[in-house]
Amino acid sequence: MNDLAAFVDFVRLQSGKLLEQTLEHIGLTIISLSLSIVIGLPLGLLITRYKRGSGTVLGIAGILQTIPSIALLGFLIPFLGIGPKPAIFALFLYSLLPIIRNTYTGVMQVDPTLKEAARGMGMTDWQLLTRIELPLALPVLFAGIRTAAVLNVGVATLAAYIAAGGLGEFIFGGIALNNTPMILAGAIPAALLAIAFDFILARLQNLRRGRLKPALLLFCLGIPLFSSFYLIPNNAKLQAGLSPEFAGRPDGYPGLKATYQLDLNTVIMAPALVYKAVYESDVDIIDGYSTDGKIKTYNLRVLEDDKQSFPPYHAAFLVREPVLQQHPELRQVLELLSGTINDSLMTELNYQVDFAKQSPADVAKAYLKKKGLWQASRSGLGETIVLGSKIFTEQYILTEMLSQLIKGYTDLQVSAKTGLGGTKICFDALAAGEIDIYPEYTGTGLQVILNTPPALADSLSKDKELMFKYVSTRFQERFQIEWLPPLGFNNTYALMMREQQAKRLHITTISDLKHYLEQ
Amino acid sequence: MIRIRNATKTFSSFKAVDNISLDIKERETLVLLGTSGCGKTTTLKLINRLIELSAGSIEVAGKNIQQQKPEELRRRIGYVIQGAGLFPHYTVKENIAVVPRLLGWNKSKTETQTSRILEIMGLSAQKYLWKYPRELSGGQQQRVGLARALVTDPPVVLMDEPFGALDPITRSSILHEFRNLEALRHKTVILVTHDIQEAFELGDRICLMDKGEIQQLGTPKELVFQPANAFVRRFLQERRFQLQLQVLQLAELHSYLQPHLTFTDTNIITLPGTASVLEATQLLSVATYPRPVIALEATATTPALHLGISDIMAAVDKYIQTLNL
Ligand SMILES: Nc1ncnc2c1ncn2[C@@H]1O[C@H](COP(=O)(O)OP(=O)(O)OP(=O)(O)O)[C@@H](O)[C@H]1O
Ligand SMILES: [Mg+2]
Repeated sequence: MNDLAAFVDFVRLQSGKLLEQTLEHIGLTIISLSLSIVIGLPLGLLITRYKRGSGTVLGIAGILQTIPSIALLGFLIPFLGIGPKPAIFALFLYSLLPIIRNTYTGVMQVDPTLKEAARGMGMTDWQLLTRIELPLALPVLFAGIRTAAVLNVGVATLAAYIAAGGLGEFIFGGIALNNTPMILAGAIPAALLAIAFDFILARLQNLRRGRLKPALLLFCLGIPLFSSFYLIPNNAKLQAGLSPEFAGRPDGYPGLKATYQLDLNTVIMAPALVYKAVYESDVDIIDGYSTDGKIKTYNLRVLEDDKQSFPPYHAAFLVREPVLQQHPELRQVLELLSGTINDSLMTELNYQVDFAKQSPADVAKAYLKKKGLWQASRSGLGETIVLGSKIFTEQYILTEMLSQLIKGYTDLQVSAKTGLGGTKICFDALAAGEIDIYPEYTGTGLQVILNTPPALADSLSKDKELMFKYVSTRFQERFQIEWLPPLGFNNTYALMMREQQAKRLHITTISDLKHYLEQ
Repeated sequence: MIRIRNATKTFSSFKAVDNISLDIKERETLVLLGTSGCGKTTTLKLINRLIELSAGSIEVAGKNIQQQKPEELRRRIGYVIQGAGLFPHYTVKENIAVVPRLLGWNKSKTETQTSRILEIMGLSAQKYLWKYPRELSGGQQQRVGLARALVTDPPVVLMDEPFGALDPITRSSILHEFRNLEALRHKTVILVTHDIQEAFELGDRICLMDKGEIQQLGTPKELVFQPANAFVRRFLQERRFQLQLQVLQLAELHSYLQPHLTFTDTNIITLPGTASVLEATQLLSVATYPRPVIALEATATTPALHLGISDIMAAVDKYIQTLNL
């Protein structure tokens, strides 16, 4: 009941934003669907005439559909930038297959004797197509369009990854912030939209032939209307591309706003894509982590947080207490790494993986060897410890180090569940006992998991020892999860710009940025 | 009306139609007959260019078909395909109006002709114009298929097993109507069938094919009484006697008949001299009492005769004997 009330509250407070996102979502879906009909339908018809091309065309459309969406969006940034353009293009590519395939099979399954009867009576190829084949293929063809529409409503949530808006903003924002009402406020309308699209298209299919034309006309007039959403001019001095987590967390952008009175022109993007976007100059300012190897890769400048707005984020392993009780020998091994890695070292390790393309396992091994900590795996047959990590390099490397240490020093076995999305997914997995250990940051624990009130969080942030003590005590009490001693580095939030641009504009600190924007 | 010269159709290396030459006269019904796969359909489709010739030439109404646009050629030739081939998304009316639309007829002409042809085919326009093919029986579909091919009154009509999918009873009733159809009387019809009975009932001439070649081209009578080769003989073997009775007319037996003089019979059926012998024997073989007698009408040169079944059989026997001599 509490959740329901929270949900209703959220929707009421955010109704304006919800309406905007829903309209954006409909716009994205309709425009991309229209595009794929306009391209896919003729293409499908074409391969019924040149059957030799059918395998190739259907094959390519099939492969397009298997490309992971984030990868596809990342691939499109250099060509189409960020915003609705690449989102629409990606959606268009995804929905191409059902439309081409159903057009093709719909026409191919028309009884050949009917085609011959039509030609025997003197129809031209065009007349055969428009009067016989298309009408008879219509049910199958429409099924394809409906599939594509429902698919597009779903995939359009990913538009939020590249600042194209839509209901994905709530969904991904909600996941990043561990905010269930927010997730639901995006997911429920998206599901309803899918049902609505399917229903309307089904009705359209059953319209009598005479009424189809006005319906199509209406549809064609609707497209420019929805397109106009995306024509709002943007003439900000500097454009910021922020990940949903940073944009929503009190210690992220909201905190920054309060400390510096900074007002950035922001769009929301997937964390995996912000670096590419800033590198391609689609945005100028991004958020990131201070130890990220990509800082070096993309030649970015980390703006100094001169007013200490970002709270400390000291990395440490989170372990379920029952695991430590069952395997007391584990504690010693886990603490081998404590205090051994500083900021610049972590950035370097990250860089080796991100840019030098070494595997996290190799980098971890090299580091352990250098520190004299590495031991060959004992190939033990003991119980299995499950390690988790979020989707970024640093976590992969830390998990690897831990895995090699456990295998080298104990007889336990290790399995890894890497790439567990954001904080919420990782922590929920840990709390549910699906994983045993994962690397976390004190600031994240304080803000995201404990939901500490801002005033208390602010005061704790000033003292890193005090903060660690607070966080670890609370975790023990509430979740029976232990914070091991910090690893040493502080992977806090950071604002970054392209080195060249920052140099040209003389911006080294966040205060500089504020001054520049106010000039 | 149609001249086929050395027509050959090769599929990869297989000769489906092998060097066929054939003239089809105006207003005649020519039946292409033969076993499955002998090239009947292929020959038919060569005429409206649904299949293109590999070699040879075809003229329709004095014009080489290669020198015309296929669509225009086809719009001037009626085409009936096996199983009617009606378009399921069109009503009966729309199905029949396909060719009129292609020819650009105006609405009122199309409508009057559509209704008229449907009535000629024995279907009430009021009742059937708005039905969809799935609402019709097989026989009704067949009729609509015929109506569709005939609505524009084309001089040439091609039919590929138009009665193929029907049960024997419906089929024989449609066949009967078909033969007496005024709308077809003045047309050049090429009809494909593998049914001997149908061929002999409908054909003015029959072209018997095998392995892509013509085995014999002639009137039904010629095929029965003067088979050109062993294949023709074997092909008609099973039905020979029945076919003989079917192709002979009563008048042809005149000189072999012994006239009866008794007029005491009460059950007398009068037939014209053009009636087939088969029809007469069928009427006589009905087991009723008193047994019927055929009264053959008098003509300018011959007197009226009364015939029993044995009279007719004896005459047929003599006729065949003379032929064989
Ligand atoms: N498109 C084609 N490609 C290859 N071979 C074909 C093609 N069409 C017909 N044939 C072959 O040509 C031969 C004659 O075919 P056709 O359709 O003319 O036979 P048909 O006399 O109409 O037989 P049926 O009574 O079974 O309809 C058959 O052996 C058939 O396999
Ligand atoms: Mg055939």
